[in-house]
Amino acid sequence: MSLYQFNFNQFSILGFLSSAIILSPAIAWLLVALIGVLFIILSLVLSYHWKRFGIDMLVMGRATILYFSVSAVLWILMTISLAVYLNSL
Amino acid sequence: MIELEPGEKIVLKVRRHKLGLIFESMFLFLFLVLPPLLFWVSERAVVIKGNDLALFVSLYSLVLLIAWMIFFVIWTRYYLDVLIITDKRIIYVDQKGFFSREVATLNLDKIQDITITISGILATFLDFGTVKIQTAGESTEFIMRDVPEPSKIKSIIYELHHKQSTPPNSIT
Repeated sequence: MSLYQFNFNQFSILGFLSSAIILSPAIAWLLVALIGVLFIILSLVLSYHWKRFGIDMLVMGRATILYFSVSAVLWILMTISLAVYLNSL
Repeated sequence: MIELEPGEKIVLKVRRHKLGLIFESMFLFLFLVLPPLLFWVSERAVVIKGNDLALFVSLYSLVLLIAWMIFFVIWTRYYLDVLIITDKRIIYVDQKGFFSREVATLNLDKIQDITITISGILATFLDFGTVKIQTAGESTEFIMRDVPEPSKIKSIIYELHHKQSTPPNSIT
């Protein structure tokens, strides 16, 4: 009778996670593009609602400025840091 | 955009209490706290190739961007949900979702009864509750939950209702 044994010492969870975290540049930029498309769609929907149904134009204007300026900062930060990371590989 | 009749003036715009917005968006706090915590843990447990700080900043920015978008979706729903009280009527806009919106109008002279309900410790201390406006004849009923200062709203509506039902040149 043969016994099947699994050597747990050969399997390293840390090694597996490390290998999973390696990001190929093409996939990374594809993900960024996908998120960009989602961001544009959602922003268009939000802008439409603010313009079409907003009552206080001043509040809606402020919301638009705040939303797009913070989003732009986060986008820039994300893109630059991703480029830095991919160059460091 | 709500179109007003000629000569109609907006007296009051009522939205849900800000606490509702805070409660609804509270889970976004996790988006803020969890990534740095995970980074701190993973730094000790996982070997990441390349500049790990740059990777963290990139992923954290992404998470914050998603949280920012979700917050604005919640805020938009909160902000577009409004009870507009004019000197002639009450307009209730119920923004159920991005693609579902209900606008109901009620003339002030049709109001039969206004009921306010304040229940709970938080509602009592922060003064918010439910305003229910019942109309004469038709089955329409306006219910707006978690509105701040419901007693004030009730008295304003009654005052406007009284003004409308009293002819301008009547002798009192």
